[in-house]
Amino acid sequence: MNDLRSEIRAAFEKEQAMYPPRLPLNLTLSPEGAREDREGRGRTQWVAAVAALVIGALVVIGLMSTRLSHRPAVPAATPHATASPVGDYGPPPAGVPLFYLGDAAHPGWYIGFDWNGTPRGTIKLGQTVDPNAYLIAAPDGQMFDVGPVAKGGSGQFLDRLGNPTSTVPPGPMLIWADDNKHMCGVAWDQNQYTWTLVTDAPGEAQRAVTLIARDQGVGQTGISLLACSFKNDRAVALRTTVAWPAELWVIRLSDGKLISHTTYTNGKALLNVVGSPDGTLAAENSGQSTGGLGPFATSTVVRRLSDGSVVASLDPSMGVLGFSADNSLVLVNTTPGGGRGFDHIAVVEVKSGKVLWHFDGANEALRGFYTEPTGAAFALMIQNTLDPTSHPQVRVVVVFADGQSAGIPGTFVHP
Amino acid sequence: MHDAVVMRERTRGVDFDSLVGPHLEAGYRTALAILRDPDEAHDAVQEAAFKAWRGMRRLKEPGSARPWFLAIVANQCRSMRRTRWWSVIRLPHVERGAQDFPSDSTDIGRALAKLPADDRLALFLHFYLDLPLDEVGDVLGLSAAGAKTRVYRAAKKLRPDLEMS
Repeated sequence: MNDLRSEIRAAFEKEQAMYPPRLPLNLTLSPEGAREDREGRGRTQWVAAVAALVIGALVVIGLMSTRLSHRPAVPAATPHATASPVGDYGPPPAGVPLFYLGDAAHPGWYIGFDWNGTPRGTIKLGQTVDPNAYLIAAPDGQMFDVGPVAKGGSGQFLDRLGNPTSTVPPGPMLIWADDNKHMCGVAWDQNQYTWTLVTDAPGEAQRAVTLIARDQGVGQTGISLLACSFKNDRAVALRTTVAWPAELWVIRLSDGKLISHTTYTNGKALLNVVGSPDGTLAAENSGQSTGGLGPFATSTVVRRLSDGSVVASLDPSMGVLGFSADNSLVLVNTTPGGGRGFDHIAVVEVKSGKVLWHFDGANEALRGFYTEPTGAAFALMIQNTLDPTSHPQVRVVVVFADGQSAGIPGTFVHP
Repeated sequence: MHDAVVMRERTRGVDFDSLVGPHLEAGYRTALAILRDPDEAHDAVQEAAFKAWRGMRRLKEPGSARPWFLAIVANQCRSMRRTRWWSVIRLPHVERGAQDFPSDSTDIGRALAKLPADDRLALFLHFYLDLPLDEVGDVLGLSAAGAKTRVYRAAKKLRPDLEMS
């Protein structure tokens, strides 16, 4: 055995010697990390994460540059505006659903747009928020979760005008619920090995709704929330094992009772599962939506969670990214693409499968999107894929329920 | 807001850099052993680093960071081999000839190259990275006994006359 051990080791050594690490494999390659080193300060975790993102983006650039060069350039389906508006549009109005974009000219300013694409107000967070912070607006834009705050801590809730109202307790990543008042998350207890559904709201103590599962796996499995609907009194949680969806729970928020449980026996044929904001539908995305090798599910299926019935069966090259608030439309990515940059995307009518709008980007990809909270529109943030920053500038296109679209003039900072 | 690319989590108490940083090179070498392509190996380790950051809450104790991170790297490599659309394009590039991987030019190298990926990974972790069997098990999702069996069976494929010690 010892001889074999030596031979195996020698063979691997020979192989490894050919390709030593090319990059300095260091998590603090970002300017922030370098500055921190010079100043002798401790590195914070989010700086490491930003560095990881920057490195990842640089790798993307390298990969995309070789791949996209083989593709014909496809013009964007919507006009690319260049003028940059901006400014102080006053305090955001109450009761008007808004989505927020960062003002490129004023760091810390966020402009609220109504769903006609009109700027309606500006919140000015200034230096109270770290430049690497995130800003997550409630679906109607009337409240915010921002963090990490400059002086440390996990985050703060802000009111409609951007004023801090209360501290977000330390805990899991949270998503806004559809009532625009609560946030929900799944907390992992590394001592008890438990996953617990929790809810937060400004000024209220965190509430543990129920234990979802116990888990001994390390790095192999995780549970995340697909939807949290106080309107329908339910949350939808998904376990992903390795890279595949494994099981799904629908849980009543008011008493923690399990409404339904689904096990994915075909998990390896799926890419992921995406929930509708109201927690009633789930899209089981075929692995083919990333364009890889099979075997994959033969279609991407939208299923009603109450009875498992199939609402829509889409081409397996489509992967659902999100549902409109009324569940009539889905935003999808199509192949080729997916995984790192969704440069081929479309809006599809659920009941007919009809493509209402599509976008085929050349050096552009979807960076994120907002869903109109009371209708069927999407606001899409489209990024130049050559911009590797963690808060890149984006142009914004609003796609309406009928498939018409309009670009908002200017470029903005991804919040 | 739905972020298609980045999921941000709140700052947590543990220093991610000090936990994972020391294992990046081992992560790269593991990825290279699985994917046999330096570009994809770099790609995989960066993706794994990001996933590790997102999933750091699942790390039970800092002392188990190495197998935990290597497991994420291994999973990332498996995922890349299975699902990435560009793997279709790069497949001929991935399956390199013997001149690219000199270990293939020896008997043992050729035999290693023909092993299933998980067998090859088990041998790499135990014989090249010198991971103890319990850590090999953590990476592969096996018990220490299971890892020992995997290593033995993989080695036996290289040397059918091998006796377990």
